[in-house]
Amino acid sequence: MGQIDLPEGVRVQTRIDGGPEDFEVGMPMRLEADVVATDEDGTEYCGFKFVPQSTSSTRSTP
Amino acid sequence: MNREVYVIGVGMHPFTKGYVPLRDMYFTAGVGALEDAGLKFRDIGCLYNGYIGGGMMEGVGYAKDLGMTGLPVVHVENASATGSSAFREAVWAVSGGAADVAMAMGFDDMARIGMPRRKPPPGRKKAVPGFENILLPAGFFAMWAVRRMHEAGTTVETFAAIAAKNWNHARHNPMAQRRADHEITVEEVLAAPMVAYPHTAMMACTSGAGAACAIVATREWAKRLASGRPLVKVVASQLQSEVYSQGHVFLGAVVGPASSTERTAQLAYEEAGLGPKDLSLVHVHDAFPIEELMYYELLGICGPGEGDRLVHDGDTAIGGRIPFSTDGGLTARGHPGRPTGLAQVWDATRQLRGEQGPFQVPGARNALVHMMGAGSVCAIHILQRE
Repeated sequence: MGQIDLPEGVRVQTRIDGGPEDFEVGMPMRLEADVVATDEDGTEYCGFKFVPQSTSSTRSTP
Repeated sequence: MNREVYVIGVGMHPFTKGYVPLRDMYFTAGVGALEDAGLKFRDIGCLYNGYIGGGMMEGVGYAKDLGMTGLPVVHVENASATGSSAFREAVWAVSGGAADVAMAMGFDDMARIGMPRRKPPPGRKKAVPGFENILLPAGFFAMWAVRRMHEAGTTVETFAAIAAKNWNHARHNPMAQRRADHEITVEEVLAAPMVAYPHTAMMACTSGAGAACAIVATREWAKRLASGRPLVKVVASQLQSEVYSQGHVFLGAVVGPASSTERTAQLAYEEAGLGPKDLSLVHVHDAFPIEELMYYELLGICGPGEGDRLVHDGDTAIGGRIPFSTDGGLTARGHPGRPTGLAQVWDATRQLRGEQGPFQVPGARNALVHMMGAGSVCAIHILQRE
């Protein structure tokens, strides 16, 4: 979990992807979509998370 | 308050991880408080039950085991501040003249309290798994702690020292859920499994079950039943919900903005006509050590950024200048949710009477009890030995 300040002035309390050693306070982050759950019929539910801006696009993006 | 109000009886069922029927815990806490006060249930003018889990009218049903006298029974709920809110209602009933003697009861079992159920969307059989609007306390307080470390240079050892102190306070408390058989060290707390950095399992409050009860009454009743014991007066009763401020967190704030504690404490100090320097002991909503550390400052015990020094100097341990969580706090006494605020009243009352033996604060005169309820409210009472 972390708090992200958006350029528009809104602060979101949100999932951030990685371990404690991957982040520091004040680090630029970017939004990514990911799958948060999959139904028994294979339906994927899409959510969002933030990752450090320097991270290359990841595995879990649907 | 219109009339003076006194705590005349307290009772508890020990907080426990094991299974005990709630009905039994309710009865034990209720009879304990009645015997402590020297009363029969027929003397109770009204009863406030605090709980979250369970079905409709659960509290009314359990109260029948204590007696069926026709007294008014009401259900109170304010998340973790439920016990404190039930206590406040009882205090107000006596203060306002609705009753001369009132009982507040808190009971619950965390094992039966789950996440809210979701409805399936149209055309689907199963609910969509939720991931928004959910933030568990462990994650929330980890954010507080990391921010504190960033801004004030607080170390993980300081958090561990607060937890170790509270574990050691609980060692001789017969009502505590976590009673270690040896002196707990900072190293041991740090070596426990990580829950959410920087908090380990020994820094996290417990999940369990329990019940706690307090009886309050007018001065006349208190004096009649004192039987040589000092009177314990309720000199402040305050409860506040959130006030909007710039940067307000609306969802998942768990205990609401830190300013809630500052504001509620200010009102309580004004009502009691005393200040933080006059307190002998304090109980707070210390679900994780970062909370206790923050409340040192928000309650005005020390200045902003000075809390770490209190820990290192041993000021907040029994024997120190201003002991916090003298019964073990949420970390070690336990936090079954609803009874917790009344467990604080149990300890505070007995401390002020000088009855806590191996974990007694010598010469205790004023005790402040503080609880946060997620959603959010802050409740603060100040009790005073007369």
